[in-house]
Amino acid sequence: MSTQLKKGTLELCVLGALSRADRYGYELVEIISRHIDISEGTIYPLLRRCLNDGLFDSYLKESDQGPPRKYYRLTERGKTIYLQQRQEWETFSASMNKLLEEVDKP
Amino acid sequence: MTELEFIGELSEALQPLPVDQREDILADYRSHFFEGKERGKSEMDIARNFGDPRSLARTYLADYHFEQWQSPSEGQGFGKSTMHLVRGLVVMLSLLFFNFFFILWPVLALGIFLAVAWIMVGVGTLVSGVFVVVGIIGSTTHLVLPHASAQYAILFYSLGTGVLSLLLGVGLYSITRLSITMILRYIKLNVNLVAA
Repeated sequence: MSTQLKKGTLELCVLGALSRADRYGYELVEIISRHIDISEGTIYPLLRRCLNDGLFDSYLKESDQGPPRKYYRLTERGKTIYLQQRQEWETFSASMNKLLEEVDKP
Repeated sequence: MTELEFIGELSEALQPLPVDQREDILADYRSHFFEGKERGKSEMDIARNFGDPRSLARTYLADYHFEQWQSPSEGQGFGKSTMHLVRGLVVMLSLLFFNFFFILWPVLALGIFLAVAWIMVGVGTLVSGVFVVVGIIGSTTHLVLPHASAQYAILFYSLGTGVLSLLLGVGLYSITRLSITMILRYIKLNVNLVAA
């Protein structure tokens, strides 16, 4: 998969990973890199950008081992944008699949 | 690269940011290192997965400057917000050509060297050309110098330097072509790295 395509969809990955539960940075990186091969260095700047844009907010929570963890939580705005982007992605990928099927026909 | 080295380089490269923001960013990486080590990963592996701390820092700097430009903090005048725009663009450019500033001075020195060499070859060719003409006129009309031997001396001497200048010019032409090719290849490489 090309890096360009990965970068464009990375925000949707992060929003999706946060849609059901609040998560901390390392967890997010783990979830995403389990499915998509991406440099971990691109995720933290993206998280910060999303914080600044008000898609999430963050809070500190004590952890059993080591220092408190910084958790990310979707804001209302973040949830709206997630649903929007997901809708767009599903429409796009469905059209893409149709197109590729059609091209394959003799 | 160890954790200490990585954090040190990142911190160094983030110097232009306000302290609180810099510390905030560094804390994200420190805790990532902590969590990774907790799961049995080595510092080297974690640092390698992050990539170059300096180019990572540039991403943050570009974000910071553009954000300051769009919504300047209190009491920040027009001049200062324009400065953020300019600095943001510079950081973006250096992300695009991420070794850009590293090669800037050598390229500039090469450019000056080539320009001076071209001027010298040009002047050399021109002056010896003039003397060749003077020599020819002199040796046919005997107007310039009374002694024939001096006429021929000037003619052959200027012919010699003229041919030498032209040869130097040919050599310089291929050096210039080679330099431009190398620089273009370098730029293409960087654009591909960013786009890929």
